[in-house]
Amino acid sequence: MALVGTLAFTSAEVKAVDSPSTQQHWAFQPRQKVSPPSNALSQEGLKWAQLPVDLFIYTRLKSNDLTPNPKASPAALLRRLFLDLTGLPPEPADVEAFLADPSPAAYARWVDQLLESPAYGERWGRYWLDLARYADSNGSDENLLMANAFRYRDYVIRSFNEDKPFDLFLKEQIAGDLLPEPENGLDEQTLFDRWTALGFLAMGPKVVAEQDKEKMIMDLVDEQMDVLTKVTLGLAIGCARCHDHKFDPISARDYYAMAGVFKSSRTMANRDHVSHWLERPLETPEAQRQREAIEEQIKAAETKVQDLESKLREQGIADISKLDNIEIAEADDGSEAVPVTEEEVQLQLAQAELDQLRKQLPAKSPTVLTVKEADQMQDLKVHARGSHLNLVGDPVPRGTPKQFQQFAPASGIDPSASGRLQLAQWLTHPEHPLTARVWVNRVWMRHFGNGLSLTPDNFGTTGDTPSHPDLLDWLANEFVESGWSTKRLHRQILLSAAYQMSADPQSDAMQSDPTNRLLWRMNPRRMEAEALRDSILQISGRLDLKMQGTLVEDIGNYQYARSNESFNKVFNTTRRSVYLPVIRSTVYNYLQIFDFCDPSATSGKRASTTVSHQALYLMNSDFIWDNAQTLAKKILSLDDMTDQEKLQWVYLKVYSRKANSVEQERALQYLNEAAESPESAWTLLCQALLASNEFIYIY
Amino acid sequence: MMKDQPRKSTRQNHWHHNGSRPMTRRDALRQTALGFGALALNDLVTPKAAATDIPDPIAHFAPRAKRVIFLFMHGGPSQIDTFDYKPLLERDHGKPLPFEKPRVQFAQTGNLLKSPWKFKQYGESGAWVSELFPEVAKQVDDLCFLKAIHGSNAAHGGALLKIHTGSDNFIRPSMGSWISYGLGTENKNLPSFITICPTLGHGGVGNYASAFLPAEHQGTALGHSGIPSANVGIDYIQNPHIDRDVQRRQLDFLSDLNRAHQTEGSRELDGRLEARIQSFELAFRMQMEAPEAMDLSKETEATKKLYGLDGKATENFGRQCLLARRFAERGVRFVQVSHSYKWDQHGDLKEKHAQNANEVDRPIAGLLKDLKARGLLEDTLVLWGGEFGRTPTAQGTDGRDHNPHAFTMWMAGGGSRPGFSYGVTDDYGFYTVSEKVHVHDLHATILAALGLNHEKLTYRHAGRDFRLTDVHGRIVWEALV
Repeated sequence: MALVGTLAFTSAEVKAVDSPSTQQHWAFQPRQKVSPPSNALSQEGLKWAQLPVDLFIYTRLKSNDLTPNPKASPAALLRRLFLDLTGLPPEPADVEAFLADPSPAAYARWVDQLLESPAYGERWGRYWLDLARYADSNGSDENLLMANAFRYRDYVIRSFNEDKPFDLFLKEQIAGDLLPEPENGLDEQTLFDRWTALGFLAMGPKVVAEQDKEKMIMDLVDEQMDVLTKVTLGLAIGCARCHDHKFDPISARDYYAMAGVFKSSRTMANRDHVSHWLERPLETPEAQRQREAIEEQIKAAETKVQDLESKLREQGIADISKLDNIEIAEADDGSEAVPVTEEEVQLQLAQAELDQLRKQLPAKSPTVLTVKEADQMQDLKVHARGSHLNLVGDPVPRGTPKQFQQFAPASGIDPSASGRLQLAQWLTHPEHPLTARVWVNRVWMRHFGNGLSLTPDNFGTTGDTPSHPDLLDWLANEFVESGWSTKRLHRQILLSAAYQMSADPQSDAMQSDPTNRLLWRMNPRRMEAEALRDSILQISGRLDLKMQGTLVEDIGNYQYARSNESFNKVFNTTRRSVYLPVIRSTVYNYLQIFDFCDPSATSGKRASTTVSHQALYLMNSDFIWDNAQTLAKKILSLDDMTDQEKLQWVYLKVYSRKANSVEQERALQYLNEAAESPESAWTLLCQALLASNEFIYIY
Repeated sequence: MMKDQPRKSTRQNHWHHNGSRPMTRRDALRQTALGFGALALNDLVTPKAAATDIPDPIAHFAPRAKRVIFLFMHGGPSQIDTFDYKPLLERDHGKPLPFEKPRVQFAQTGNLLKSPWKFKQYGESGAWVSELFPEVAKQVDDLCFLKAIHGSNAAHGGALLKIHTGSDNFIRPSMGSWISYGLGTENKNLPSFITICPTLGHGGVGNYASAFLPAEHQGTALGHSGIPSANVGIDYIQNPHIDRDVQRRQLDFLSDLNRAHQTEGSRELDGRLEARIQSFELAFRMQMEAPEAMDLSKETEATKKLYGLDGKATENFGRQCLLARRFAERGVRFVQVSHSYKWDQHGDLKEKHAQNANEVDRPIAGLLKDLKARGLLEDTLVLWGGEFGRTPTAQGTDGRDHNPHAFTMWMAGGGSRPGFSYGVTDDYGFYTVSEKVHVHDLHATILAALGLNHEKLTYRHAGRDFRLTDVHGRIVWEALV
């Protein structure tokens, strides 16, 4: 919100926000202890249901005279599962194996196998990166390259692949530097992960050339709070920067209580004209001590060398570099030997020692964007209308929003601590009404296209009430009780009958529940930008599965990431899309066209538009042409196959199914009329397949 | 989407000078029954309307303008060396500023520095213009000066974002995106918001991004500031490998694939499949129309000359202006032309400001004349200005610092009041004094000229209704006729 508002600041006390209706809002209530409604179910329903999840869904469908769609065809189901968990389609051999044995047991094996594949973390980690507004450059006013941000991205991918408990995942990203060390100590990787995880707070766009540096810092604090609360709580706390929240129980005092926590933490390295953010070397305290010890010795050795050199100068030896020959002269033991003074020998020794020490100095450690405790802790006064020039009342003690404090540590925050640790503990408290619900809803959304609540970032009173509140609570309870395991949550969804339904519309249900709120079918979805690009690369055989690392390091940290041209080469890579640099303000053209999120703001759900630029890209870009051509060449190299067989092969590759006889006939006819050379004809055909609805939509 | 015929502008008669007009029953119906969400829906989602119908734009007020051309002078042209004449600055040259400098400054400045250029009065309106703009000066009776603009930001990045999106610290949709969202398109074969040679720095794409508005309202960039305007084009507008008839046959095959997929399992009930099929047809038509729109070869020599295409200094910006006219003619709602990052004279004011003005003066005057001759100026609002102005105090001996506290922009056509000047700055042009126009007020006024009420043009995002003007904005009715 802007700094000067017409909404006058009235009172620092909670007013409208304490109204009974707000207090009773579903999302602010403790989670209900619910059990799946098995009693109400008919035989038919019990037969359909595979998992507890289904009981909730079937009950609601029945009471609305709806029947669940039949199961999707094995080919469609396998393709859906693959794209959902890994962002890549199945290979023809996988499809054929599943078509031969589409049993529930075989399906369950695929669920397990895909959850264990490294591609899972690349796909689901990317969703977290949308939320974390991950980028490789600052964007905003001065678009400086954040050349070390990629370590945070890799940390996220790793965490998803390891199924790191979600509460720990959050704690690391809010207070990794403050988490207590376990009794048996911390291994190096865990220690570094804790610092790297704080990139979550440090990653935002910052107005680094804002000359009112106090405003710069308060904008930064606001950005951190906005992202954190939207992502974890589904609440837009930012409104309370200027006034008590109009709809949700967040007062301006709550805002500044939490703002004090972030103001007492440090994200910027300096307040220069164009300020830089803080980075921290990944170096254990032990390694740091060793390095500093060596640096100390180097300093001493340097002083010694300098002293000896000046002594020798006083003795009249002008050109000290000639002393290099001493050793040779002595070794020769001949008549050409020059007289050597005591100091000259000493200098030789000192120089050798210095060289030796310099060699011992360890290589420079990689650094990460991070947050630390500030030098001074600070409670903030309420900023009337959000302006740091307009402070009112007494400082508000650092803390968490009042509304949700029934289970929070009442002891408050140590005067010498920012309070990030307490904030993280409060957020991940097993009884917190929002955190688990919000995450479970997000995971559900990614599997079904819509969440149980349609507003994943807004669980406040203006947000959408869940279609199945009991199911949401049941899943959230299970999630917390299982130790916040996201992979377990996936299984509970993926093995359900609901997930395995066909996505085809039914005309009756389209009348009574056109938006599929009650889940009578799977929602058809368009591939996201990354899945589309990665799938095309996999199908053409060009996909490079190398994991982790950066593609932008040669441009230099804190350097301007101004021109697209300097990145064009980088974007020719055939690595998975999650590794493409995300340059704020000049997001890679392709990603923009296909509704990539705005990496300057947290994004819980991407748009899925249908615009003509997408068509132009699929018709005319070099990317699509090159891949279609590569695929065509591959097809032509299968020279023991007939044209019909080639067609079957490419249909299996692209659509995960075989072509029927009508399709074969039409395609063969097109191959004849498309172009003279077989390579051109197959290229055009492959391009059309890759641009088609059946490929781009997941049914 | 909407059945009503597009409404003719019913300007003057219905308007009180303060601009308030009683809302008609029809207006009320439009706003309540349909709501803006419905109006702004991507028309591709309702495929039956896609090919031919153009939705009737929203109109809160009778629209004066149908489209905008924004001539953006990136870097910050000096108001006191161009259009805001300050005789006392000349008299007090070398003396200290007799009042306080702003709390936050981009750089430190010294004493008052007089303008190196002479001013003269022009036209019937008698507007003062410096010798930097001799050609634009001849058009002053068409211009409406806003001389007390304020409220951008002291740094370029923040100021560009503020001018383009209304916010310097939050990610918000660009003004052009809001207008595209509010009015829809007049030509389905072209984007509704085009920006020619935009800068990639200082907010970059953020300056023409749709942010949370649907993606079709994003500005389509033609090249960027580093590319000569002769070499710009729409990305992926042509397939370099195949002829059009080969592509047509391929699209027919693609259409067969899509139809077969669509008829299976009653999938025709999912409108998006049809929308995507239509999007390929639209793209195919755009491939023909966009290059035609950008083909200057059919323009007469006289027209090219009018825009300065015959001059080395004026040729690059002149082509951008001519392209802007061609897009305006074809119904593009918002065209931005950028004279990129040239106007930032912390030093070398004399040489560089003269050079910059020389590059744009003839093209701008040519654009105004041409629009007028073609009857387009009447419903095309031309806006000129930078992200801030410059200080009357000197930086070094021949430079001026950023000044977001008072600067000049001007409008022409599209219902702006011709031969008019609004806004007063102090004796030296450092601060606004009266008739102030905040950046939010400017946005509110531009929307009003297009028939849009900035308080009603909203979009619901993350649980809140957002506006271009946030919670601010005053429509400067005085500057509209």
